[in-house]
Amino acid sequence: MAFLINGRPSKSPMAPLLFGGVFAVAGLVPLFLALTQGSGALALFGLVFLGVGGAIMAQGIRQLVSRLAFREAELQPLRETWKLGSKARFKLQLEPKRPLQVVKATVRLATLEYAYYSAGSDSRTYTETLHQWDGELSLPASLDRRLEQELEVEIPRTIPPTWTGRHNRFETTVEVKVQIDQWPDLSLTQTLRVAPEEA
Amino acid sequence: MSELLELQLDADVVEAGEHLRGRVRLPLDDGKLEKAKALVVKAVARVHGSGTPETVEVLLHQAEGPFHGQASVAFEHRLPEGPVTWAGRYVKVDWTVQASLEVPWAVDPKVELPFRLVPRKWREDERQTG
Repeated sequence: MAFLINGRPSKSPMAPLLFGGVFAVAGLVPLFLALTQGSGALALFGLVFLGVGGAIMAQGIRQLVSRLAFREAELQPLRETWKLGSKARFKLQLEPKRPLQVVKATVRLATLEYAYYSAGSDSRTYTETLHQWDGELSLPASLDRRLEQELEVEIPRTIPPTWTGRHNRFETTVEVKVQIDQWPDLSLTQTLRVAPEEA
Repeated sequence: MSELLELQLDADVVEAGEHLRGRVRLPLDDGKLEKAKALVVKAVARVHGSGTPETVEVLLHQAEGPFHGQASVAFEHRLPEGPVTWAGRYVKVDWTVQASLEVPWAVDPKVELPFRLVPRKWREDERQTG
């Protein structure tokens, strides 16, 4: 199974699985204590942790299961950097293990600004979507063999080029989402490097 | 703004990765110029807004004193690729050129001038080669 995009995993399902797992296990401890001591507050505390952990794990499981239907699911940019106003091109490679019915496929280009604030124990993340474009992707209704398709997304001139500081960053991503009949949605995300150049 | 120093830039809009040119004018007949040890010119991006503020600094020019009899010091340096000037909801980027004269046992005269760092325009020859 190839989930690697340019040698690094794209939104690995392991992260939510592990993070959610830790939360869920952390919830089990107060639940166990609540059962032995008969404390309602502890039980509630444990249930909250268990619920949050379970929800995060469910997201990871969905991502993992969605990819289990594919021998290969990859979204690869055809160049490393893209200029403002140019068309970023990608290669989408899908190889299902068994025939799948595609309900809908979409592509999204999003540029976000992130600001991280931390002072003492107070830390916050501010996120703002600066640009979002959604389009439909034309895929065959029945996916029964390896598919290799190129897709193009226009990068607007008005977005800030990619920049990552210590506490602030501008990031542009492309996400391909494939809705599959009776199967979790497949989501492939790639971060674009937008150069400070205008085409 | 300092009365001792004056900053002049060839352009107040500079493309990312291109050269920033300008000069620091040093008024004559001042004792401070004779005592001055160094002149430092920097381009500073102040990234602020809702996140923890941070700065990006580029040393444009450094000259050793004394500067007596010198009317101005020219500088030219390539600017980084980013961050470009930006005014977002949570992230703001402001670029300035800062010049300071290091004078021992005195308040260092300083001057600051804002400019804009913008994405570089793709030239026609680059357009043809892709």
